[in-house]
Amino acid sequence: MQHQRINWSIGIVLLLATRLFSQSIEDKLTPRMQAYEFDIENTYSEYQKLYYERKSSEAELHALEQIISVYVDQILKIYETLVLSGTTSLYEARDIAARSLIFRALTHIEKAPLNPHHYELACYDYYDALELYRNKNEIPVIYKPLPRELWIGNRRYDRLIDLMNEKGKELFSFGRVEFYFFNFKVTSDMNANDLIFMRFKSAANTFKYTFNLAENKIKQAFKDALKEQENTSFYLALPEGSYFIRYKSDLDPLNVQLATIYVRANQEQKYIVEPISDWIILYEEPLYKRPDFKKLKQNLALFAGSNSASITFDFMKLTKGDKAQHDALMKIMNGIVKKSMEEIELNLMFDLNDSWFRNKFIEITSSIIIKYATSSQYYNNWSTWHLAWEIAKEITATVSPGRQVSTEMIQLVHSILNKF
Amino acid sequence: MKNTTRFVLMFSLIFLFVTNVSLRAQENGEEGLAPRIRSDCWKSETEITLLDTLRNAMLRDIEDKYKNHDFIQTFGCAYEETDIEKNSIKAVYRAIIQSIMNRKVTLRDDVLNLLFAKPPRPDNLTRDYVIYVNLPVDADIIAARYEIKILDLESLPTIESPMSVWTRIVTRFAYKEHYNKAHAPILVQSEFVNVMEVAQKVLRSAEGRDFGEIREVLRLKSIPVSHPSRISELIFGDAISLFDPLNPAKAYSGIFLGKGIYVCDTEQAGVVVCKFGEERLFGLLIDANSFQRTTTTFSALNYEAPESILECLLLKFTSRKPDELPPQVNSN
Repeated sequence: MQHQRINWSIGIVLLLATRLFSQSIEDKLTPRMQAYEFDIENTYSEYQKLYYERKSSEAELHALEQIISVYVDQILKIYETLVLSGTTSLYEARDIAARSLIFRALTHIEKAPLNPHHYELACYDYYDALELYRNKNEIPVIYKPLPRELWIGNRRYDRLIDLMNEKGKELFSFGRVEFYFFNFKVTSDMNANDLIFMRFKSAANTFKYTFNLAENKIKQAFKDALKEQENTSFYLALPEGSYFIRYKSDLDPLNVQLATIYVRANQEQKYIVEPISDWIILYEEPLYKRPDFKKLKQNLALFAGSNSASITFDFMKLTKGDKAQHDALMKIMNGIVKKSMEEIELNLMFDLNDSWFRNKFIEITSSIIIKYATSSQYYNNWSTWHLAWEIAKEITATVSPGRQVSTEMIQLVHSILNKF
Repeated sequence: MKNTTRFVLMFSLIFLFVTNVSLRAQENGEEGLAPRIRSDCWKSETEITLLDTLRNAMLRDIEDKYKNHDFIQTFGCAYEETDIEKNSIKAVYRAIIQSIMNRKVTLRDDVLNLLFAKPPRPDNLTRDYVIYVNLPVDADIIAARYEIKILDLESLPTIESPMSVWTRIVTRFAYKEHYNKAHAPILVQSEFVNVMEVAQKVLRSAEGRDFGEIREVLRLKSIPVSHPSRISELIFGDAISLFDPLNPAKAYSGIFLGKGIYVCDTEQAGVVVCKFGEERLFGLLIDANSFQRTTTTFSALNYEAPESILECLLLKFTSRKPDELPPQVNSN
């Protein structure tokens, strides 16, 4: 018995020591990341001044780019260490890593008008930043307020999304295309070096953008897939347009239809790569679902505990502008918004404890969400977070004009969008 | 003389030009396209279909020496794999399962592992096997010894696959007393061949752009038996729905054929065979919430459409599709 008690005590001490040890890694490394990030921001501001005001030499600008790149690499190494150490609270570290990648992307964008290849390089950093939030229920850093206000020229920026909309909008002409190799077994001699990746259609305004890194990435991915014979994936940043993969020795132009992809601007797509007959087929995974208002109604019953049995609606009639249907849906949405607000504290220019203001806010929010959910914009977004951002902006502009969009508002809208 | 020379020169130039154009056409494979896109995906100059091969083989009666000793005959085939050995094992397995279904018993042994277990194949596959099955007798289940003889096992290139295999087997209970206690067998030679015939109707209707026929064959108006939740769960014959994001009330029907390929009935281009992602060329989207299965015909026997036919269908409809996406329009 005493033996068991000693074992338990040792176990508890070890557990506490491990926790302390984990915490101390995070406590040690996060300030270092913060320091590097501060240096990146200063270096970026300095870069801006040199580039635009003093028009300094290329050597000086190149030196500053190198400094930013070194800091970014250091931050990413620290982030990887924290991830591998099993630290559970990575929120701040993730935000720092993402912001540093975006700053590097912005540096590339500055040079891009002289060399469009830099747009492509900027995209990879930008997408890597967004990728850090994949499958995490956190607002991506571009929608969050910056830790310090950023002055570039005579303009102040509070959020990276505003900076991207101002300086990085060319990146929105690219799309992120993930390729997923599935059941990839090739029985004939296939030399990945003989693959060619070509663009055959592109809008006139996107033709200037490059995709120089794509072909080598594809060749490497095929080599890895053939070697590993396991399901693997990789992604490309590609300008909007139509592309295909073909084999050098294959003179049949129609074969390319099997391996054609259609890239959409500022959206993520996933293509599955599978063998078919004597070649390969690339097909997109359908990710979009029409808003499921039946599920929303069920969620209201579960979530808000209210009896919506008397409410019936038809999505088809709703989209044709049927007033009775619209009123029924508004009733459901009001219930969802009201219940969701209990979990998130909003700070608006009026007092939400006042029932009149509260009900008005609920109605406005419901109406704007329904407007987006029944429009094509619902399907033309990078992610649900981006849609939540657009909706939150419109709600804030309506109920609290001139105020910043709060992260709580974005979270509220995102949680509602996840209910259908 | 001058005029003659000029004439000869002009004629030579025209001759060279015309020859060059036709040579270029050959280089670009315009003549080479003919073998790639068959005018009928189910017909080829050099091969027949596995389905026709089976239909012919199934006309053969079981030999008297087996019939008189309580054997029944079943057939199996396979074309899905890129390996003759795997196709052979699959074909034999299907024939055995058909025999089991005909006898209304269930397997006791892991037959698939048994078939995989003993190399070398496929030659060595063609022999006799003994397995045990569960035979229901009154309220009990007894283990009954079951004999399998593989009489024919042939691999041949067909339109479905260059490594198609078909087989003919005969099976019986080893002991007469078990035979007497069992139900009288149904004499279905191959349910899988029946399923192939139904599938061929669907694929031919897709090729012929007859969506009405597809609706009828698959009974699309029936109540769904299940709702696959992602594309990895989709099988041949599953229904999908497409819609126009600018007018989401409008829905268009589609049928999944395999390997990311489906046939759909669109307003813009009529009936067209596409791969996932190409619906965007018509301004449509697939509703990932809409997948439905209205029949268990294909899932019950793990039917997959032949890849060569799917490839042929997809390539055939190339000219009916735009090359690029339409401009993105937001309706709000």
